[in-house]
Parts: sequence; C-alpha cells; structure tokens
Amino acid sequence: MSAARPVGRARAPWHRRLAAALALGCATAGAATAEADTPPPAFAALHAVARGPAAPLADGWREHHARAAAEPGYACRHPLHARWFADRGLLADRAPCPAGVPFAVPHAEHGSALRWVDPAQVRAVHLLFGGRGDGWASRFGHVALRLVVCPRATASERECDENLREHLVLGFVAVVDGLEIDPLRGLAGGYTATLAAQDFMQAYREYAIHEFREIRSLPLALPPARVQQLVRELGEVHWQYADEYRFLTNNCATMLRNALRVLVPELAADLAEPTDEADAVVRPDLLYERLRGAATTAGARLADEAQAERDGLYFSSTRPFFEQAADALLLAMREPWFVRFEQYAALPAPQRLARWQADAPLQRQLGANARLQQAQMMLEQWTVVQTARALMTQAALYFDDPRLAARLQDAEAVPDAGLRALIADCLLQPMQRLRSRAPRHAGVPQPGDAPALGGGPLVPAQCQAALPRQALADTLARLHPAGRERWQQVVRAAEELAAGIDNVAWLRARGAPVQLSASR
Amino acid sequence: MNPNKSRAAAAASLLVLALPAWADSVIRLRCDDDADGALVYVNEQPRGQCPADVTVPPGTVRLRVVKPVGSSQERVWEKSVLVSDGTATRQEVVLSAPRLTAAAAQAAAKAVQDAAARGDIRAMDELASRHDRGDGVAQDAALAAQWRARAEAARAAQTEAKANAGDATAMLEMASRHDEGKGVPRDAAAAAGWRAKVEAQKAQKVLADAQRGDAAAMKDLASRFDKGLGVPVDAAQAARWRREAADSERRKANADRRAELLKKKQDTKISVFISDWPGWITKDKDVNSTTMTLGFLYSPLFTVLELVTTAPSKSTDLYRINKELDSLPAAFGKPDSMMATLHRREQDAGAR
Repeated sequence: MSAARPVGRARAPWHRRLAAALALGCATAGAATAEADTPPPAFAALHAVARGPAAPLADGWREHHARAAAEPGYACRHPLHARWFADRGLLADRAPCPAGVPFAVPHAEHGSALRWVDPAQVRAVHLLFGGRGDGWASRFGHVALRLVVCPRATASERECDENLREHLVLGFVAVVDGLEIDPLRGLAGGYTATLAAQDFMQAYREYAIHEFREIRSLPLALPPARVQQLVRELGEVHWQYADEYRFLTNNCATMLRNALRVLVPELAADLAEPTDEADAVVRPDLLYERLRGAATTAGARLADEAQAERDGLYFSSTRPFFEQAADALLLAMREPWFVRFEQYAALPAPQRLARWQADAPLQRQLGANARLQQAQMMLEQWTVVQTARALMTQAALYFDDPRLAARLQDAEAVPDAGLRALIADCLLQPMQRLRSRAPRHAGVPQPGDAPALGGGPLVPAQCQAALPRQALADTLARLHPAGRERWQQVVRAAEELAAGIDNVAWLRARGAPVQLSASR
Repeated sequence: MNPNKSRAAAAASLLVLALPAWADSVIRLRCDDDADGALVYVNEQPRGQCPADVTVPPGTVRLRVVKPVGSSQERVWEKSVLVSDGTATRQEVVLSAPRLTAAAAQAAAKAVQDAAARGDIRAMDELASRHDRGDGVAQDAALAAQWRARAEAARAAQTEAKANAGDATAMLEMASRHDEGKGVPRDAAAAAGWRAKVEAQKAQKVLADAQRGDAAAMKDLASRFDKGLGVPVDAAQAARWRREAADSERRKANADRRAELLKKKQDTKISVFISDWPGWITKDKDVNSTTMTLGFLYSPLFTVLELVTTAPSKSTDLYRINKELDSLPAAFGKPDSMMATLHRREQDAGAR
C-alpha cells in the first residue's frame, strides 16, 4: 500500500446543482424523463467506480444526466460518465479536450505536483503486480495500473518502453493520516481509499530497492483509441474516487477489479466471480494470476523472465545485486567490517571513509576496476538512502508531538515575535500543508483549474539563510517536550547523512567518473 | 591306594596293640611328597624327619615340621594337639608356602625400620602395616598411626615441592590436602591460595593464546577479568578482550567467506540473509519501519529538516544519489535489463 493525505470533497451545494439542472437540462428532459428519474444499473456501476460506492447515486444521476446533455466540456471533465451518455446518444456536442490529463504525484519539494499526461502519448496500459513483501500488509503483493508514457508522439515502441522516468502508476491505496498504519482501522474501514498516482520509478524504488520485491507488468491488449479513453477515464477516478479501505474485503485488488469491470469491459468475463463470497474477497496475487491468463492481456510475454526483464515487463528484486556487490568488496578490501551487505551500515560514514583511506590497494582497485567501483558506490548510496529514511523517521516522530507546535507559538516560550513568525513561515505552515495536501477535484481538472490545485515550494526561499536555520535549530532543541535526547537523535541522523553524502563524493573522485544530470 | 601307605596303616595298628595302657601316646606324622625329609619338632625338640612316629606324653603337644628353603626361608607345618593317655593318632603334614625364617623376618623388619627412619615413604607405610599386624615388630596401633602420619607428611612435602615448581596438578593436590588436613595442617586459606595460583597460571596461558589471536581464549580472558579469576577484576580489560574476540571472529568469518567466494562462480545464486548486525540506523524501536507511511517518507519533510540540520546543498546531492541508485543495482546485476538500459542512457547523457 502507499499513502496520501486526506481531503474533503469539493462539491457544489444541492440547490445550485438543481438550478443548473433545471436551467440546462430542460431542453432534453422531455425525451429522457423516464431515464432521468431512475438511475440504470449500468450507470450505477459506472458512478460507483468514478466516485466510490458511497457517493449518492440519485443526486449523481440527476446532476450528470443534466450536464451531459447541456455542457460542452462535460466529456473532458467526466470522461467515464460521458461514455455512458455518449453510447446512448445523450451527450451534448463534445468540445475538444485539452491534450493532457493531470495526475497529482508526490514531489520531493512541493509535496504534490501535477503531471500532465497526453493520452495520445500513452502507448499501453499494464496491470502492475508488486510481489510479496516481508511486511504483514504486503503478504499478498499489490496490484495497480501502469501507464507506458512515450517521450513524444512519434516515439517507437522501444523508446516508449524505455521512457521509464515518465511512466505513471495508478493504484488504489489507503490514505493514512498518521505516521503508522493502524491494523484495526485498516480492517474496519477506518481509512479512505483513493486512486493515487506516482511515478513508476518511485514505485520501482520502493518495491525493488527498498523492499526487495519483484515487479511484473502485464500489458492489456487494447487498441490505441481504447488506451486513450482509458487514460482519460482513469483521470476522473483519480480526482474523485473515495471509499473505505479494508484490508480483507475492499483492498487494492478489490477496488481495481471493480474498476476494471467498468473501465475495461473486455476483461469483464475474466473478472466475473461465481459466488458473492468469492466476489467479496480478492487477493492481489490471485487477481494478477487470473488476468495473466486472460485473452485481453499479453501474459505470454512474461513467460520468459529474462526476456521480460529486457523488455521492461519484469523487474527483479535488487537484493541479489547488493549481495553480489558486497561479495565483490569483501574480496577487495583488506579489513572489511561486514560479511553481508545489510551489515555494511554498521560502521558510521566517517569511519567507513577512514577505512578506505587506510586501504591503499582498495583505492587502486577502485580507480582501475569499474565494476568494483560500481559495487562500492551501490552499497554507499544504499546506505545514504537508508540513512535519509531513518532521518525522516526520527524527524517524523519529533515533529509529530502536538505540544511542540503549541510551544513554538507561545509568546512566553518564544518571546521574540520575529522568531515566532519565522517558525510559523518556515516550519509550522509547511508542516500543516504537508498534512493537508491531497488531490481532490470535481472531475478531471482543466488547465485553468491548475493554480487552484496548489503546488510550488512548501518552504519559502528566505528560510534557507543561515541565520534562520540556526535560530530554528536552537529553539527546537530548547522547547521540545521530549527534551534534547530526541532532538539529538535527529541531529545525529542528519550528520550521518551528510557524512554519507560526502563519502559518495569521495568515491566519485577516486573511481571511474559517474556523471548525473543535475536537472530534476 | 598307595601300597606303601596300606603297609604303614597295618603297622600302626599292630603298634598300638603292643603298647601298655598307661604308656605315652603315639602320633604318626604322615607327610606328602613335599614334606618328605622335613625336620620334625615336638615341643620345640627335634624328633627326626618326616614321616615319623613320635611318642608323646598325654596332654597338649606342639608339633612343628620345618623344611628349609634356601637360606632365609622355610616351609612350615604347625599344630597343637591334645593327646589322650595311650592313644595313637595320625596327622597329615602339609607344608606352607615358603616364608621367611624368624631370623630373616626379624632382619627384614629391621631393614624396614631403618629405611623408614631414613625417610623412605614406602618403608614408613610398610612399617605402619607391620605394627598393625605385629609382623617382625611389636603389634602397636599407635605406632602404626604415627608412621602413617609421617608418610603422609613426607608425601605432602614432595607435592609441595612440585607445586612450588609450577606443577598445576600438584598445586591442586596441595589445595585438597589443606582442605582435608592430609599431611599438612587443615587450612582453608592455604587451600584457597593454592587454587588462586592455579587460576593465575591458567590465566597466563589464556592470555598467551589470546595474544596469538585465539577468539575463544579472548572470550575466556574477558570472563576472567569480569570475575577476577587468576587476574585482577578489571571491567575495562574485560570489555577490551570481548571486543577483540568479536573482531577476531568477524575477521575469521570474512576470511571464510572470502575462501568460499573464491571457490564459487560469480553468478551462483546467493541465499537470502537476514541481518542480525546491530546497525545504528536500525536501532530505533519506536517506529516499525515496515509500516511507516510511504507518503510521509516521500514528503518534502527533508526540505524542512534541512533548515535546521544540514547544509542546503545536501538535498540536491541526495536527489542525485536517489536518482542514480534507481538504476545502478540493475546495471550491476542485470546488464541487459531495461533498467540497466536506463542507467546507461542517463550516464551517457550526464557525460555529455
């Protein structure tokens, strides 16, 4: 599972909707009066996929029925609903939709950023299966959808497949509003579920590198026009869907199966269940296995794992690669401090550097043996990333104390008004925006809606100066209710991270140069 | 039946018939082949050789038949017999195994006494036994005990000499002797002193082994420093040797692993290993990292933290490291994979 932040639903008051319906829908109401009063079952299923099963059906039916008939841009905002009306000749003349469909993805600096995806540049949609993990929440794996986004409209099939950094993953997840997942809430439906988006490489990083899980990507055999329609419809679900996430009876696989029944009718037969009981409980791994054998998927392409890995349809866990890297270093180092790669981080970064500096033969080998240099870089970088995650853990615990915010704004505790303002601008408000950022919109946002969705740096530029940083550090250390010890853990983790990053720089200087693009 | 013996029996019968009723009795001494020719004594008086018919007065007579063996030994048959008036009886003589003559026994006892007096421990033990039995010396329990005590003390002195020379077994024996008061005074402190010397000696050996790199010896030495066994109690030394033991074991594990790898091919499947190494970044028990919300991990909290902990440029470096790490493992382990292709493309773009 992955997580986002909870938000309320943006919805017009009912009286305005009724007025709109009356004003816009009267011209066509006569011909469809019977339909307008009673939501057909097919519409009900579609509406549940677009908005969630708990969304009021009758209201939605009246609203959409009226708007579909009268609003030119309706199909762009509600492509899934629009399909139903278009199939029955009830759709108003369609205005051309913008080229891109926005999806809100996590962003390192802004919390959330809009990724505009041109459906015409999506070559394929895959069913993505993240293999079983060690945690209890990932015992049966995870399923999602992967959009294979091409670099440009004229790109070749191979170029599209290789464009991994722009591929997108859409999956039903629980929106966790705390630091940890509460199993009881997860079982009882205490978390809201949405169709969240993330970069494919972000998903790969979490699964294959941090959790050592393999990933399988099963292409859906759909023609280009269907792929484009599917991308638009997924956009509507992404911005509106909300339901109660339940680990057993309404998990990522359940919701995805229900969505695919409507979004990809070609899969309906493969997704049918013989009984209500079977329908109620769906496991991600079993859903994947069933669809792998479906006629509307290209399961045969995953039969040869090695070829699938070359084609970007299978991504193996990276654990064996790290183990190989550790073994290569064991043979080259004079005084290794580890036997297995997980033990590599046992030695703090400055001491690792000291060991390298004292090992002249190792340094010579690093300069001459590119593979050894890669191995060393892998382990050091992995350790740096783990340190960053540990730092985040410490910091999350530190800032999670509500008494801290109160103290930081208390005039007695912080007499300097300027410092209190600095704390508010640079710490408290960014933290608050972190907790409240979650993408919601009435239908697919159009380009003019983008500014209202937020975005931009969380932390103002003026907060980067040295003086505010020191003042904030001193104040935090003094005022935290847990005392200095917890703060010292945060500082220690940050210092270790900085030292690890310096180690990476030292390795780069001594090995074969590994250049990276500086752009984000 | 031996024809000679039947003729002798007939003769004895006739002899009895010839004796007057109030005369001495007759004892016929019948000797086996071994005793043939042995000297016969009646009441210490010589009466010929075996076999013999001896006349004796009524009453108790002491019969003795002796056959010398060599110069200092003899074979003897002795018996006291109650003889009635005018009777004829027969005695079967069977000689004993050779034994010292009285004179020889006395000389032997003297030799033992002299040896014991000179400090011969075995002679002391034997003299004590002779005094128990009255064998060549006076039967005297007190003297026997005295000689036993002197023997034990002499043994203790020998053991002490060995112990002082460094014999650990002797040291332990001295401790035991002092516990029991065996050859030395009963003395708990002295016993403890000998045991301490044993531990000190062991500790020296363990130290030597530890200094040669023996991890088991290092652990033993650490334990000794904890408990003050053969060395002073010293927590710092104990900690030091415990660390040395851990390092030694780790080096050995590394060396074993190295040897194992050198035998294997690079593409051998490596089994999963769950680490039990206490890395410092995993020590926090407050949060179960496997359930930590990913959204929070991906949040720009780090950007906020940057303000108060590290230099601003570190976030850029961290971004680069994350980006490179995305594809580097696959490039290392699966060079023909799609992810490795991404890595090469990005490296080429960076190089340009």
